Amino acid sequence: MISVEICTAAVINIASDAIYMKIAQNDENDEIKEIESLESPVNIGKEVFTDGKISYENVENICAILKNYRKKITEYGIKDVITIATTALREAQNSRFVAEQIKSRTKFDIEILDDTEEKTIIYKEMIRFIEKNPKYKSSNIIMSYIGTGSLGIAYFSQGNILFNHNIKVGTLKLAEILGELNTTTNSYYKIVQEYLSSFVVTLNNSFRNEKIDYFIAAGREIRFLSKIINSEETDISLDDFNKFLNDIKNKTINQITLTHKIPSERSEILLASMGIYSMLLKISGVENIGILKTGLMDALLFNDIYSEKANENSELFVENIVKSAYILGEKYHFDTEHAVNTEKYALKIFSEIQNVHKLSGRDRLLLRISAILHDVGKFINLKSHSFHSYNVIRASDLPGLNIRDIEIISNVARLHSKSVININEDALRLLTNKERIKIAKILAILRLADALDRSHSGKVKDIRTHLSSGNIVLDILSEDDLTLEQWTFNKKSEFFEEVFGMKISMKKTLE
Amino acid sequence: MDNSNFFNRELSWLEFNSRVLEEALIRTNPLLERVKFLSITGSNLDEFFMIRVAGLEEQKEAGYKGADISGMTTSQQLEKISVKVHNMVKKQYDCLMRSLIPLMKKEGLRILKYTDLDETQKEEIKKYYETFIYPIITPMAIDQSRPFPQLPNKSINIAVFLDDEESEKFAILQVPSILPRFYQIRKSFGTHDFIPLEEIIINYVDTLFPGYSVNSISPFRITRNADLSIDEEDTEDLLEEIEKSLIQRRWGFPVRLEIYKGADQKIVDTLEKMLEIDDKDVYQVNGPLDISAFMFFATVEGFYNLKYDSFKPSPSPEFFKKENFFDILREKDLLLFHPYQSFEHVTEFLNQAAEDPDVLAIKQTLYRVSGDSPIVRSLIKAAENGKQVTVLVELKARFDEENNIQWAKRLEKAGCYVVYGLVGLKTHGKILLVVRKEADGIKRYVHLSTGNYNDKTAKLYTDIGFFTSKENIAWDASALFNVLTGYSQPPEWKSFSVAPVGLKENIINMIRNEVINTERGKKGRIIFKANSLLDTDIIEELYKASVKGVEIKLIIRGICALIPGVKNMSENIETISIVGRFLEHTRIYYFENGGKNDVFLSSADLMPRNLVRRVEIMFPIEDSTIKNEITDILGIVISDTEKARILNSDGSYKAVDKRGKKRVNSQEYFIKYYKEIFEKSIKKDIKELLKPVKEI
Repeated sequence: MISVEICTAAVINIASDAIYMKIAQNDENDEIKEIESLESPVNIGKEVFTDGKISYENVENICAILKNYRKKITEYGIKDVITIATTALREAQNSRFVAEQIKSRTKFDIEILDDTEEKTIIYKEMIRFIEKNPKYKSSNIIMSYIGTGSLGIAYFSQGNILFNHNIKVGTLKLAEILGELNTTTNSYYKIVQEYLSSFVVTLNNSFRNEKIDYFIAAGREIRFLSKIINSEETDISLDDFNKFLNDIKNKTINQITLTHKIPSERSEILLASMGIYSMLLKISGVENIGILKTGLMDALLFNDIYSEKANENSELFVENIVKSAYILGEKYHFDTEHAVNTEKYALKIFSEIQNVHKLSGRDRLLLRISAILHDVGKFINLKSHSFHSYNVIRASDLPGLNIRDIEIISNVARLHSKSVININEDALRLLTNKERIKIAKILAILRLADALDRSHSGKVKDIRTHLSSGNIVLDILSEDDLTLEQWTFNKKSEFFEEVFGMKISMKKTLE
Repeated sequence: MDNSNFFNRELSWLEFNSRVLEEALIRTNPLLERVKFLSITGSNLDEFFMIRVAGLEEQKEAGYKGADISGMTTSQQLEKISVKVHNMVKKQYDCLMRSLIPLMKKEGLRILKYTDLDETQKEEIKKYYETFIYPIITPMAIDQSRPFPQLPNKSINIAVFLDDEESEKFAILQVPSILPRFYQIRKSFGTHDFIPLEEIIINYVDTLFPGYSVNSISPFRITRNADLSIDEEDTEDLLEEIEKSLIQRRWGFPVRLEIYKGADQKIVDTLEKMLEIDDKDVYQVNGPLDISAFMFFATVEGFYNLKYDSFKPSPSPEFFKKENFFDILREKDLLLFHPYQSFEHVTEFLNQAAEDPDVLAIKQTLYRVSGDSPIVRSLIKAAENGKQVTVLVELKARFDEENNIQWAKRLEKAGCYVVYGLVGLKTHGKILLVVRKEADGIKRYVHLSTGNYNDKTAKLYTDIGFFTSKENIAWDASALFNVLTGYSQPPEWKSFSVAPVGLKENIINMIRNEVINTERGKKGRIIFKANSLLDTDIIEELYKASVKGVEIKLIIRGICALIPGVKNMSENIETISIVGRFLEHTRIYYFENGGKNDVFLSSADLMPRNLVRRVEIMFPIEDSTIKNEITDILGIVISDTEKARILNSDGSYKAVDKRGKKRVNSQEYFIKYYKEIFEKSIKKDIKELLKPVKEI
């Protein structure tokens, strides 16, 4: 056997209903081989959804379980453990304190994933899955990920994720909203459908021009469903799905629990999730549901064990985010050319003055997206367009960007055309100092790039920089008249000077 | 009762004890082995009274009016038991007094009466009495002011009626249990003459009651409701009914009186009254009390011609002289059939795991370990070598014997993580898991067995142990320990079926599957081998399968509530029981499954207690060679003509009609078979050693 470095890793997920741990290692097919899988119920979800926070008792419970898990981890000699928390902890008002308490007692550093981060992990896993399956590779695919807190619907084409909708109806929430009806009606499913019908129109609009080849579902619910319907094959056919649906839809939760030997909390969720799948099957018009067998924890294990490969995937995913930003822009009929130019100039300036701004690769992505979308609000009204941009960006579910990212991008867009900028303004009070500085730096660069395409006609061919007595000079290669650009640049560069403490000027050059 | 589809549990058990008794009667069995079988029937009966009869008495007292699965009320059961046991006891003593004791005498193993002794012998007895017995004996007079003493369970006592001038007095003497029951006279002469202890005391009784004359005297023995030190598991089903009526349990009441046949009726009446015991619970016997005490003669040193040929478990060819079992087990699964094959391989495996630098963790369930167990020693060593050792200890009862707790403490001290199982569930599954870090990652080795990790009983009980490193089993094994240590919920098992959730259901589903196959024109066949079959749900499924034409063979050593051979119910079911030199203990569940021949091994019997109140494991055998080996084993057992008894539809058992059949004694066959395959394997090794020489 070729000696491959063996890597054993563990992932712990503090979810709404239980704490889970998986231990895995690499295998000969470059996949992960699960060694152990543990599940310890703690019902923090119910508590958080009703009281808004996690009780002291449950923190105790969580710590007790984590201490047991620690024993398992030492047993395998695993050093790095990824500990994440999803919906329940995410939504608890006291989540920071809880995480801190857990850390001090168990030494587990919990990363609370926000909704989009969770989805990003799944979408990356989905892309990996699509890449591996020849039949999916060059198709149009609708994908759904039902989390406990929200439903993500994404559209993949040629292996790229093009857009994403987040609907705030997770199974748990749906089951909860409708839970009280359960005892009084047998037509629970109908109500689920009616409730969901309001989303159908929106979704249909999103997909109207595309022919959908496949519908693939990800998440615990579909794996559970496939276990019941056809003992975990790769697909569930529409027929099988409908047969089972017809079988259960006029039953009460109790009846489902009894006839199918399903734990009652699962049956509650079952109808809700089947309602969602049924809606998506209708929209996509396909004959079966493909199943993504791997979940959040598997994806994290893969990323940990095959970190190099995961990094490559991440880079690919960045391109994906950019692509979906353009698709968002197109939806609002933005000036594509201006977006392309601003993005290009911004990236050029970014790389030319790397030593000055010292921003990260991730920040570069944020700059890119800001550059692409800064004018997207013009669709609504030219007046206060940057404020509209801010709202559009915030309201869109750009896959792969988390809440903090969106916060930065949308604020950059909001401020990009303001004449006076105060990063200590009230509107930014919820951001950290670091984030505000980041906004300022990105904004400073974006304003220069925007200025260079003031006439929206792509006059600039290239940008180079040189230093002249401590000041930055941008050498702008162009054959066109740059008077308007020059004028705007002079106005907008003030902010750059304020942020970086250096003067910046532009100079037209012909070569 | 006639309408019921099930045999009564107690009567079925008594049938089992009769089969053991039969072995004591068989002339071709070596004499001292016959004595051993007889003594086992005695200790079996003791336990039966202490636990089962006592439980029924409690049930009766609690006013429980219900019927058992056979439709009998508690009183009806107690009456039937009494009739049956009286017959059995008569048989026991006939066997003892008419056959065994006379035969032993011929062989120079003599049990003497005082009157048989010559003067010098009497002198020796007198001395023994004066120095050892007299000082520790306390006569207890009984009258209004001195109530009847709480005589210990299973103790032998002597009842005496005495006369002084005024009146008659009643007294009790306890035969000291710390002295040997049988005193060997003139031991140094190399003879084997024995005299029962009570015989000596009776002879010198005058010395204990100076001034009185002895009117009548008789030894007797009482059996009580089991005290706390005895495992409750065998009474669970009875207690359940009692608990419902919320009657407090009364521990220690007498359930049986054994007394000499020739005893004065006045003594019998007095004891009956004082012990509050019914006529039906009095057993008058025409020989020494306490048949179980004859184990002493069965295990006496020497007399090899009167015992079975000495037997040594054969080594497994695969494990023999191998230094690293992991290398072998990485390649293939292995099976060990105990006691024909050595249990030492299991202890050796554990020992290697304890020493192996690559082993990360060892986990094991322990249920009834022998006192100074090599298993426990290896676990301690492993912990000392820095392995993560998890031991699930199942203590016998709430108040377990001192020694069990001691070794559990020793494990803890050595750094083992000792867990005491799940609340309300006894961990009965036998499993050992070794986690090892190898070049290609984590590799797990699992040993699963039908029997306990007990090196002593592994020489006497037939059990199958199974080694594997297959992923699916290993995954389940890890998960099971996570459940047992409270780290995790039960997962969806990949291969295991685990009671109390799912094991019974899976068996029932597989029985139903045979029905489906039969209906589709395929052959349906089921073979179960277990110690007991009492679960009515499973029995009813078997009946249904029988009606549909599934061929069912059951090898049930002990209690069997299923009635075979009844038209339109169980005519396709044949049930046999094997009682032989070794205690049959394997649990094998075989399903034809349309030619796939599914074989499962399990720690579970088909009793409600195994299926709902225990953590039991059933696991599939996937390796085709091993599967064949197990089906062959079943085939041999089914073809047994010597030790097999066939269950009739009236609940009795009959011998196999040998006409036209090859004589097969399955246990003897296995001894020979496993010896041969081992010997053959050594010869092959020798040849291979010689090979290179030839080539040169």
